[in-house]
Amino acid sequence: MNGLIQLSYARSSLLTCVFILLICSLAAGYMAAFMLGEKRHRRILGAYTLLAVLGASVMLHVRWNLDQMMEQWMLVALVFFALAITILGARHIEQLINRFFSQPSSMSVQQSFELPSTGICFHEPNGQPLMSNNCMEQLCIKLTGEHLLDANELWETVRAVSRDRFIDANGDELYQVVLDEPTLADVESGGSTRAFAFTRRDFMMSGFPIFELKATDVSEQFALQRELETDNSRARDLNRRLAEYGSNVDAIIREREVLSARMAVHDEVGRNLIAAKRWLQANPAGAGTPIEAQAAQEAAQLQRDMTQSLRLMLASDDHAPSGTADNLQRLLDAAAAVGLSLEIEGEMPPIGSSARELLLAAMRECTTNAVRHANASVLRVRVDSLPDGYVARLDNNGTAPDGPVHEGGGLSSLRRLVEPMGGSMDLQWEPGFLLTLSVPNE
Amino acid sequence: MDANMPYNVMIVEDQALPRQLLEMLVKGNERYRLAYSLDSAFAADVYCTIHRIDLILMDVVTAGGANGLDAAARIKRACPRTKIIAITSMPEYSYIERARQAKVDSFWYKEDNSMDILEVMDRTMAGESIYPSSTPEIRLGNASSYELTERELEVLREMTTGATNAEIGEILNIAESTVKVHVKHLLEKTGFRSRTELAINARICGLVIADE
Repeated sequence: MNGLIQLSYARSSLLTCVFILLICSLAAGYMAAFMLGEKRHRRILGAYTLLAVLGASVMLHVRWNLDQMMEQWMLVALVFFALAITILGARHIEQLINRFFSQPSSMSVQQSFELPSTGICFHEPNGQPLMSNNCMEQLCIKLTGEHLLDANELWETVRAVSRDRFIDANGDELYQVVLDEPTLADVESGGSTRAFAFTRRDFMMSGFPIFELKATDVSEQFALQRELETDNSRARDLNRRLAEYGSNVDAIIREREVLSARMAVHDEVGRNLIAAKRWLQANPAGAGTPIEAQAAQEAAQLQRDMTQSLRLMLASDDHAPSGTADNLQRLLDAAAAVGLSLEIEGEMPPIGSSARELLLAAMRECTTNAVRHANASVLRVRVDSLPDGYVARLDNNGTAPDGPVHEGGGLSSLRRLVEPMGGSMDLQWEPGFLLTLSVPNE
Repeated sequence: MDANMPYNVMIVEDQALPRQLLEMLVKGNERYRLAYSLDSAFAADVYCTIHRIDLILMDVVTAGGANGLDAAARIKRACPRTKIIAITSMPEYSYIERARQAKVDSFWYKEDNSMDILEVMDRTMAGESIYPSSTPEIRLGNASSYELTERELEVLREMTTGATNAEIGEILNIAESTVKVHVKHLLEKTGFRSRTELAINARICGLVIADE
């Protein structure tokens, strides 16, 4: 009996040692998790530690009379309990150990921080830098002329001097800053402009907000971008000249056609002259026979053709090149021809502007409608010039429509012209037909 | 004889010489009477509102940036009984199709020697619709206009406005890379060295004409 008790004491002291070891390693794990900021491991290991302490205190407070069934089972339960906590805790501690060794060493942190093409600075919301590298320090001196003491100030400077602003794939703002324009000597020596893209994001670390300010060297991309811009502007220039040429080419074609028409007339005159001359040579003495009479008739016809051709040629010389008249004048002429007078109040948009062409198209539609449907004699056009465009109201003195104006072919195609340009068109039929057109400046 | 004779004719033509020739032709024929002679299609439809115009000789490219086919469509919508003959010296291939869509009655090329305009006028007034069977053949660099596909011509037309490949793709609803391929084919077929040269020559010969 005594021996058994001895045995049980030996067992329980072994178990005590196991528990003490267990508590120590769990507590160490807990501390490690705390240091590494691993919240989950910390919480779980803390709970295990407490459980181990509980188990140990249970063990120390029992007398261990193994003859009693209950205490025997309790001992077995405690052993299993210790085993279970050991296994479970070991998993967490192993994970923590792995975690610790995968953390960069202080040396590697320093190395990555000194990469010359990337500037980085962690700072507090008030701008106080927590950690920054040499590159960011250099950038700060270059941009603000001061050492990096206030990261917020640096950020504001970056935003102020940045050449371009982008939104990257993550939706963060990216500011591109060009450090110095290359001098000719730089370019010759192969150097180029240095450009950095700055971005800033904030995150929480151990419950505190932290800002991360990053500057990436984008000199190469910038050089390419600049090259592309130069190419594009050259292409734009070419396209502009082509468009200009396109507008002039009408005049060139017209001139060429007139020239070819004149040449044709000239040919005709020449042929007529030759024919007349031949006839005169063949009939030196004049007409007599019926055949000769017919020939004389033909000659006279030729003579008439020739005169007409000549007249035509001369007339075309007198004509100034057409196409100079304005469409407003054309519309006024047309309206006058159908007995409608146009009363324009206010200033029409300038000649050549798309606002003018749109307004003229509207006036033409209203002219035909006023004549066809309203039997009007006056079309009134009130034009208001606004800072960003024109508003025109068109009405007539004819009979009002019976009901809502059906937007037939003309009006609907007018709408199709106006709306893509950012203008709008509104139709009223009471008390009389009124079309309100607003067109923006180009 | 038709009770409406002589037919009232309107001439829309912006070049002085052809306009005078047409005027002379109409005045010199007892079947026709010259009602109006205009240099631009811009306000042509206004004249048709109250005046009876039986026939319009409508140039396609007219002064004031007005396209005769647009005006023809407006007139045909309001007065379907007015006969319209589209006349042009521009070989732009799409004009024929657009004229048909505008319900233009007949189409006549100024350089067409096979039939004179008076015959076209008479037959049109008699109810016929006369269209050329094809556009005139035009040389563009080393290529004949017949060798170019419809898509290539569409790309070419946008090129004459100075549009970039991306813009052309957007207008025609095709990928920019496809536009590039068309331009490459055009350059190969015509033998021009640059797209600018190609565009300018295409514009000059009138094979493609972009609306203003």
